[in-house]
Amino acid sequence: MLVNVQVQAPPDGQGRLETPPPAPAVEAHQLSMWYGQAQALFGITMAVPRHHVTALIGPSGCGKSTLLRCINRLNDLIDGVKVAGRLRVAGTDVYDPATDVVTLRRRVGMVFQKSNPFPKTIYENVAYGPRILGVTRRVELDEIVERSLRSAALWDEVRDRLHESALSLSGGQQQRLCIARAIAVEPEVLLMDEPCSALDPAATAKIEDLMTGLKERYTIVIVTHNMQQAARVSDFTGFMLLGELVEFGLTRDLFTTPRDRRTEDYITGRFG
Amino acid sequence: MSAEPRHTRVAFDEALRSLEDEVLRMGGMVSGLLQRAVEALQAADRTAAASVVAEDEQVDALHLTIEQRVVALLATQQPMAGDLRVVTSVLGIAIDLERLGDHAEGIARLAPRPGRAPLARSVVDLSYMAGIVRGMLHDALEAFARRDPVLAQAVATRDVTVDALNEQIFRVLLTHMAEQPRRLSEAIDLVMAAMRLERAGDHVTNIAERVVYAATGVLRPLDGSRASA
Repeated sequence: MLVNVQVQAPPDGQGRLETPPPAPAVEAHQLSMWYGQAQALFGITMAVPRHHVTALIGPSGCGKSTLLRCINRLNDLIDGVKVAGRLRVAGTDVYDPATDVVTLRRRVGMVFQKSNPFPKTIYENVAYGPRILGVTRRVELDEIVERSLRSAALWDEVRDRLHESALSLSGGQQQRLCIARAIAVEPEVLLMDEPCSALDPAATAKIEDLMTGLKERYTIVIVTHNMQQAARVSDFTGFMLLGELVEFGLTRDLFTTPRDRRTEDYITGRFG
Repeated sequence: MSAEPRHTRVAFDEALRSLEDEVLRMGGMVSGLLQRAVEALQAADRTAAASVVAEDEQVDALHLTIEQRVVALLATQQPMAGDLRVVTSVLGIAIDLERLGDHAEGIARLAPRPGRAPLARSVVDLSYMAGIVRGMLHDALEAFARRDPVLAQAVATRDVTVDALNEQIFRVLLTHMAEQPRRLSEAIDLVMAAMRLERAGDHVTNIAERVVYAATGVLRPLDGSRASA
């Protein structure tokens, strides 16, 4: 079954959306994806608003991480993947053969479930991307490293140990370092795949606070199993089930007045 | 995984059902108090009035119990969507029921002191007005139990009648005061009792609004008369 889900003000105007949604940073239109013969995504249509946090929720295997990984073509690394439909990031067709994947991945940063700092110093982790993009002047790199670490709310904790190994940091600090590394190349979209699932509540709270600040400059798409987290941090939420996007809308509406029975059953914990 | 819904929150469902039962029980208590308060006032029955005042304390205690249970459910179960709307509506309804109990108590406290006869029922009979409010309350709680927004909406429209009766009673008593200034105090008491019943109608309307919200997610005033006391 194909679904067509878009954010729009309902005709009754029950205070759902006072202003039109911002221009989309990521747009999917009838996006389907197959792993070999197995179809994983079914006709996803959605518009992810710019400079907001959008959460994708749904049970395990619903396709939310698959959808996330389509946005920076991380699924290309898997053999036998086939994609149909259209996906655009800030107007660029992600799956156009002419699209340069390296450039795309600079524009679309990603943070993973398990923090994965390079076995290098804290400084080098953040400077790595800008160096590859050709930044060589030390002063400029210093500036980028400090700005990125400040944006990731890590600067005050590491400013005196920039040249120590990143692996000496705690789990929460490592995850914020990965965020700093991702934003050092000034992406337009930041993808987060279960970024807090390995963190304790205090470290989780820091990352969540961070997202609220980061959305002023970046568009964030987060996949999370934690519905409370989706409710806390996101402005928009999409609920996925069996590879379909069942419902997409303002987070406050989706968590109080979902339109689809399947969404209601999932978020009230009535799905087995 | 299976897409078939399966009830996996038995404990939560039972807790919510029990909470709803408590709200309905509280509603029944309040309805009884309203009736007995008006009867005590019009029959100048101080003993009956005192029992209404005493029983309102039980209503107040039940309200606090319900509030504590709502807070515990929110903290431990984090209800969402329809569940969240029902839980928050339970809280809102319990608050309005508590206020309704206060109005019953207020009416009971107007019962004439010994040696002072009440005004004849032929002047003003408050039991008709109280009956309409109690009927509204019954239907609002029925609508809550059935999650019936149409019935709740219909309840709210009846509040216009309660408002009109209050106005009419006021005019009748004003005329009576002019004609029998020696019974001024008794007439004023009835004016105040009618005003409390009018407020009670507003609180029932609030309850109807909560029912519509719980059932549909739409939260808006159902009519122009609002309760503030």
